[in-house]
Amino acid sequence: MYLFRAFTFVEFCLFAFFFWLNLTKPLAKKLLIFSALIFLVVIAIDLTSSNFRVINWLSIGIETIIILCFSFYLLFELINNPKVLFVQMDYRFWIILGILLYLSGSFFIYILADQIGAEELRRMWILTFLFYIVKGIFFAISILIYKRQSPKNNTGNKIPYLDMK
Amino acid sequence: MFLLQATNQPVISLVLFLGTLGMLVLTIGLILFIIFHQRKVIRYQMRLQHMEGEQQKILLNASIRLQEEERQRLAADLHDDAGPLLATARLYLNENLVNQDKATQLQAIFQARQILDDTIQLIRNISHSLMPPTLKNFGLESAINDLFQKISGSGAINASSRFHDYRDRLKPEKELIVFRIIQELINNILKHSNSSFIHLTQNVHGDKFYLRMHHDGRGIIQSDFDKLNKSNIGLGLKNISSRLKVVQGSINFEKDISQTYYKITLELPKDEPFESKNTF
Repeated sequence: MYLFRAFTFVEFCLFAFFFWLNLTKPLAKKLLIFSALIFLVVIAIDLTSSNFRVINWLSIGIETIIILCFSFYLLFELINNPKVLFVQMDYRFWIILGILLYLSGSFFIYILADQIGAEELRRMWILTFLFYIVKGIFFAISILIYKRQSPKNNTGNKIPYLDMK
Repeated sequence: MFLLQATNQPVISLVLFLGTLGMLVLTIGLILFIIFHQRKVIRYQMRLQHMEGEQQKILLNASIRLQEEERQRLAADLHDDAGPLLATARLYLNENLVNQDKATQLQAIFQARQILDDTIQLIRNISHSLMPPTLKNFGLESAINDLFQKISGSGAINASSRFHDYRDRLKPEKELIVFRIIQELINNILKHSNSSFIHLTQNVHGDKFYLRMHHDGRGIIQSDFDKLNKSNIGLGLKNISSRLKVVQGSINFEKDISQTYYKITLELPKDEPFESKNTF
């Protein structure tokens, strides 16, 4: 269960970093920093006060709510300030989709993990793996789309640079 | 959480199952809504662009047709009026004139001069109708007053104009466009409306320049104008629309509240004060 806490912390940091890079409004970035501080406080309390034998449902819950809010906000920004014609052609859409499906699907499982029996938990845990796979697939799609849209792939101009002075 | 501990395991499992399902349905539903809404917006924008393109094509065709009609009219005026006059003058001034007596020679010269005077007047009229010199030299107010005086002078209709505030002239290009619009409107009123008076007023309000025309004949309202503009007929009105786009102006056709006369309002943004250069 120590690993769970470390996993939650690292996951939050990586998702928050992704939002930090892609949010455009300064106010939204400030809110992200504020939320990150709140999460750090929660995880510090969790580390010092809770029983390490149970799953850290509080920090996971807070992390899920914060990340879900920022995911919806970033999606809203993508639609209002589009860089491509269709939102599905933007690689960031697929990353957000993966995050949304994974977190919303596994939210209740993590929250109620220590309320249900071991057998039940083992059966429900398969769902979290499923959502994790879905998240991975959508992340892979986003990488493919990013690679296709990357300017280095532009094969229009094959003339090499010639230094003519 | 302690409350939940006290309840049955099946209830917790049910809550877990329904909660997970609910969250997934909400998330997927929201994503699908966003995708379909965006597609609808894009389709609507493309349809709007297509309609604008079609409208531009209609306006362009109308403009070209009007230009060709103008050229044909000019060609007809020169061919049918000026041509025969000059040919007749030439007949009077043939080589046999030297063999005629002085009286016959003098008469032939006078006749030829009269015909040439008529031809000069005709060409002057054609030139004035293409580009009125009053507009170029004295501005829009003088040109419109001049035009209305000529119309009144014919006796068929009572035409008057009044400029309340034209201290700051519009740019020459803009004045020409506005003059052409007024000409077109007057042509339409004279051709179709059967009215007994036309009155034009000008004023300025804020940063907008207004021209209002009133007439008491058969007129059109804004919905008629929009319909005619979109159809293949109504070349003159399409010309007015194209010209208004150039000067970023707008036109409004309405019937007065008293229902006795029609009102046409032209609205344009005011220019920076223009100083005319008098050429001598």
